Parts: sequence; C-alpha cells; structure tokens
Amino acid sequence: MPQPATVEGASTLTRWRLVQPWISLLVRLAMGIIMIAAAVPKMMDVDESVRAVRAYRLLPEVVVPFFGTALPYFEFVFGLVLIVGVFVRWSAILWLALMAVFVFGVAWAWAKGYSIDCGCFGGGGDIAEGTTDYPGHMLERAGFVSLGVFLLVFPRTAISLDAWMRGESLVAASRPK
Amino acid sequence: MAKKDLGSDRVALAKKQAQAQVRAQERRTAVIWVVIGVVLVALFAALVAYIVRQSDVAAVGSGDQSTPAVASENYGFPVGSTGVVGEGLDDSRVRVDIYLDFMCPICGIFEETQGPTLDQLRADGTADVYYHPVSILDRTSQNTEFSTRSASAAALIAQESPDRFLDFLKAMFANRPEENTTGLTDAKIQAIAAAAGVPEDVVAKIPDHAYSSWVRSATEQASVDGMKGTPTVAINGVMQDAQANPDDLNWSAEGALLKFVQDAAGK
Repeated sequence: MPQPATVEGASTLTRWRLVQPWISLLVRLAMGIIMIAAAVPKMMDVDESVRAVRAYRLLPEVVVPFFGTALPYFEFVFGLVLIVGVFVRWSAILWLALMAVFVFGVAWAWAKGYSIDCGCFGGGGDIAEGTTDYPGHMLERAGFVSLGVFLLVFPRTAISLDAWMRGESLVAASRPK
Repeated sequence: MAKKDLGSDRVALAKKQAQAQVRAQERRTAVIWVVIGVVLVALFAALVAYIVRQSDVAAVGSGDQSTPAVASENYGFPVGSTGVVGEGLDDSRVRVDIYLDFMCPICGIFEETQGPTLDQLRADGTADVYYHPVSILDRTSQNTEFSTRSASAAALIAQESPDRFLDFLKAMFANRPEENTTGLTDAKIQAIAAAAGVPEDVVAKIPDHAYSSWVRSATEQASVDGMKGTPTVAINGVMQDAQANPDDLNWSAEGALLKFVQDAAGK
C-alpha cells in the first residue's frame, strides 16, 4: 500500500526540518571553536606564527611578518562571526575558501618535501625531518571541509543572529510566512 | 459591516508586515555595521601588533638592545681552531653554521653524536663553526621561556667568557630538560655555567636575561635565512635539508658530516 509510505516519508521530512537547524547549530559552533582554537596560540606566540607562515615559502618575505601577525586576528573574528551565526551562508563560503587555501599550502609543502608542521593551531612551521603527518593532516582537513559543505547546504541554524535579523523565531525551524 | 472589517483587517495585516520588514531591515543594517566595526577593530589591532613586533625584532643595533659584539652578522658565535669564541678564525676554511635550541631533543642527539666530529674538524683547521642559539621552543617550556633564557645565557657567556662557551654549550645539552616541562631554572643554568668554569661575575649576570631580545632577533633572522627548525646545519652558508634535497648533508648518517665537510674543504 503506497499511502502509509507517503505519510512516513512526509513525517521524516518534517522531523528533518525540525532537527536540521540544531545540527547546523552544532556544526556552526564547532567551526567557530576550531577557528578560535587556531587563533589563540598564534596570538600568544606571534613570532612562531610568522615563522610558520615563512616555512611554507609561498609568500614573499615583505608580506610574511604582516600575514603571520594578522592571520590569527582574522581567524579570531571569523570564529566570533560563526559563533554568533551572522551571515551563515557567506561564512560557509569563506570557510571553504580558507580551507582551499590551507589545503593548497599543505599540499605544496608536501610536494616540495618540506618538513613542516602545518602551524594550523599554533606551533609548527618547520619541524624535525620525518615527523610530518601529512596524510593525517589531510584527513583532518577533509573533516573541516565537510563541516563547511554541510553548513553551506543547510545554512539555517538555530539561535543565530541571522534569524534575529530576519525577525524569525530563534528556536523555531521554519520561516514564518 | 463585515466587508469593511475584512478590509481593515487586510490593511492592518499589510501594515504589520510592512513594519516587520522595516524592522528587519533596520536590524540587518545595524548588524552589518557592528560586523564592519569588529573587523576594523581587529584589523587595527593586527596592525598595531605588526608594527610593535617589527620594531622589537628590528631593534638590534639600534642601541636599545644589548648586542654581543662577538656575534657574527648572521647572529652566530664563531668558534675557530682554538675553541674560543671569536678567535682563531680563517675565512678560507669551511664555514659550518649550527642552529640549536637548548630544549630541542634532536639538538641534544646532534651534540652528542656530532659534537666530537665538529670539534675535530675545528681543531684540525678544516672548519670554523658558528653556533646559533635560537628560541623556537619557548612554547614547550610552560611559559618559563627556557629557550630564550638559555640562549640569552649562552650569548652572555660567548661575549664575556668566550673560552668557556663550548663547555657551557655541551654541559647544557648534557642537562637538557625534556620538552613540555618548565625547563631549567636560572639557578640551575647558573650552576651549570659555574661548573663549566664560567667566572663568578659572569654567572651572576645570567638571571638578567640581558640578551633575550637579541635572541628574539637572532631567531627571526635565522628563520629569514631559511633555518628549518633545529638542529639545522648550514655548510658555507647553504642550509642543508636532506629531505627536500637528496644531495644535501644528512648528518644523522654515520660519518656523513665528516665526509661532507672534508669534501667541501677539498680534502
């Protein structure tokens, strides 16, 4: 009998509509925390951050110190933006763009045979030979990319500044019509 | 009557919707301005941090910073055939630059396994060795900045007690603290220096950390020069990285350092 199946399908969809903003909220908060966790150690040791950027040998020396200094500030603000949930879809796009840049950097270092610790969460830059965990690092990146993709596809999150801005309920799943 | 009510309901609803839209637009504008404001503040903070850092790191030679006169242009302490910093040097010999951090485990292994070879190459006049104590591992000494303190002590001893520098360096590696500990206290560093024969008046100055900002600049310069972590060896000014370049020195192979330097000397 086709009818019960349809009803069941509809209820699954409804349930997903209810649950999705909360999953998206978790994803969004995880991304925000990841950004801030990446920013804080770099802010505490700016010299290390600058050396880590330099170790990639991708940027000209004139911009390396500024890039290494400013990167954690940028990451920190971006982390805040994610946590409060403002412009979530754009945040997801920016996140994916950042990951593309970082993955390129690590792939570059890998291809060149540099002994590099990515410096992603502070520390890092060059490390002792043979201790670089490039595959593990790429796996971690893949996880980060999937978070970004999820948020891009489902940018409607519970308890977001976006919802407040639109005058929607902070906890309700659907847009009031 | 009923018709009129319906009409006014519709008007009221439309009005309400319009008002909600205006409010939403207002909130949106406010949020955009707040975000722009936060981004600008962060950009400003980053700029200030950048400018402060640039002036700190570049302060060497400006007179604001204690600089050990005995150090080379690239912040190394040159040791020639006599084993005394700044003495017995000869530009015609092979130049070996060693970058080290007193907390780095592999630097300890390097000193243990390659130290005697370097001493031999130095003593027989094949090479001059430039020691660069740098601080890249401050983050692993639980906020005691052991790398900076120990490198600063090394700079002090190189400057004021140059004949004891090598003994001090070896003794420091013999007492090397593990990473992610608090490192050695200044008192312990002083005891090591005293045991290495550093005169009392010099030992007494170790806790002043007079060369710590010089060490910071030295570390930055080493990074700019292409130092790849510690230990790094440069032969005649070329940083050796056997992983990226198979022709480079791989010092961990038995006898490789001796052969590489002797080849460079044409022996």
